[in-house]
Amino acid sequence: MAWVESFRLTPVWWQSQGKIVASSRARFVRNLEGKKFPDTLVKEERDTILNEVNISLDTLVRDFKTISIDTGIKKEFFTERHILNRESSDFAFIFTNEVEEETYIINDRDHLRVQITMPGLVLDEVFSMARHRMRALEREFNFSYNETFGYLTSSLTNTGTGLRLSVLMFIPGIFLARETEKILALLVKAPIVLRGLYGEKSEIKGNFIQISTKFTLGVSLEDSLRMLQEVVKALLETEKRSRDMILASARVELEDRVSRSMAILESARIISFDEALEHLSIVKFASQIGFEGVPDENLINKLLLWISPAHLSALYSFELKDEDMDIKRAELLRNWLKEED
Amino acid sequence: MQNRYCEICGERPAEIEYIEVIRGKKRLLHLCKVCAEKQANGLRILVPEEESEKIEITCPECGTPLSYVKTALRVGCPVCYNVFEGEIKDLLKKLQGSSTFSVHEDLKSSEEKDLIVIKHRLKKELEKAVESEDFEKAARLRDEINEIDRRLKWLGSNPLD
Repeated sequence: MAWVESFRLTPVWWQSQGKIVASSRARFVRNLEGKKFPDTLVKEERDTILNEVNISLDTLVRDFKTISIDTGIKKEFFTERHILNRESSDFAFIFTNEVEEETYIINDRDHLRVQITMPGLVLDEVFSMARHRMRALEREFNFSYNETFGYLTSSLTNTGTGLRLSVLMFIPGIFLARETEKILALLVKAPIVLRGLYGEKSEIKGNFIQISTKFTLGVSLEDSLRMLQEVVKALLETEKRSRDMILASARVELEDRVSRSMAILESARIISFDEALEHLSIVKFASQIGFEGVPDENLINKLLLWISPAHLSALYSFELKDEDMDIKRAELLRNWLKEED
Repeated sequence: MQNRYCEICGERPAEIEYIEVIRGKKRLLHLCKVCAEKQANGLRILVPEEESEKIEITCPECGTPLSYVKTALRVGCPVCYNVFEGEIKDLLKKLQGSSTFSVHEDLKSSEEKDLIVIKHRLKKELEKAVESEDFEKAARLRDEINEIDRRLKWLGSNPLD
């Protein structure tokens, strides 16, 4: 499958992600004026939109790559890469720059979805960059808009500004210190949406959570940014406190867990995705707080991506049988961890 | 069914299609409400709603039914927003706490601020590129910074673009 060749590398924003705030993202959705949304269009109509948008993007983005999502495995692969999500349509078209920080998705649930993703806590920057791109696109296109509702989108959760700002956070301290319930109660009251590792409709696992702005109506763009920043700041502080607490009161217990996780990762012969994720997550935490005998965090991040089902299959040209998946995953972990020594 | 009378009492109009299953044998009866309830041994009979209420309202442009909008929280086209305006307002109020786009922002007003933020980031990237002796990238970044400077200067002299 030739398309995989363009996506052989781990995106830099993922590999060198921030420590507690792994990455920040700003996303706008827009639809072209006077046209039905992709779900209710026939293929020829969707192709017309694709061509129209494609021409403009060609001049806007440097060094881009494109891919048409026409199989389930591609959809899964790009969901693992945080470009699509489980709610994405089966006929989206991806247009992304080389490092995959700037992504345009055409004919997903809306005609156009613009995503800017960068490593670390840089909400201001992704927000400014996304607005900058939207400004250029507004010069090219008339977007579907009405006085009452603002920008018209296929999902009512986007109606209005069509903007969603989000961060992916790595919070093992909070999970290990059993602060989770307290935090969840706080998050439920906050004006944000809590999601799992792969965004919409995904489970919370590997100590990752995604939080994003909730309202696209009745609040200004700047207010959305401020609201999210406040919640992120509170979470960051709690995570740091939890980490200090664990190190002060349960260091040996943590060291024990880390050593056991390393042993499993280095010696397992069969390992499921969830199990590998759980152990890599612990080892990632250990690497962040400077434990010895654990791999470099960049390698762990890389593994976190390539042990996921579609990425693992990609390494074997998608010819991997289901029963061999867990065996090959264990092999990959052993090999990559050995190489580092 | 309007013109038929109940097959048990023969007096009241038949409103219900009553399917009786006895020892695996099905029998269809057209009954009035009273007899149907007796026949069903006190089980509640669900009377079909008025025909007019059963008709699905759909968007004339894309055919999306209102029931779908309500359950999936999605619409099929911009016209849906007009056709189902009242219902969508109610849904948005529940979802977002607000149903109208009160804050209209012209992206033009924030352009200067955004350009300064972007320029700051590009400068950091430029430093890194120079440090790692990636001169090709450095040259490109310099071009981008110059472009932003030109735009900023232009905005400065024409603040409302």
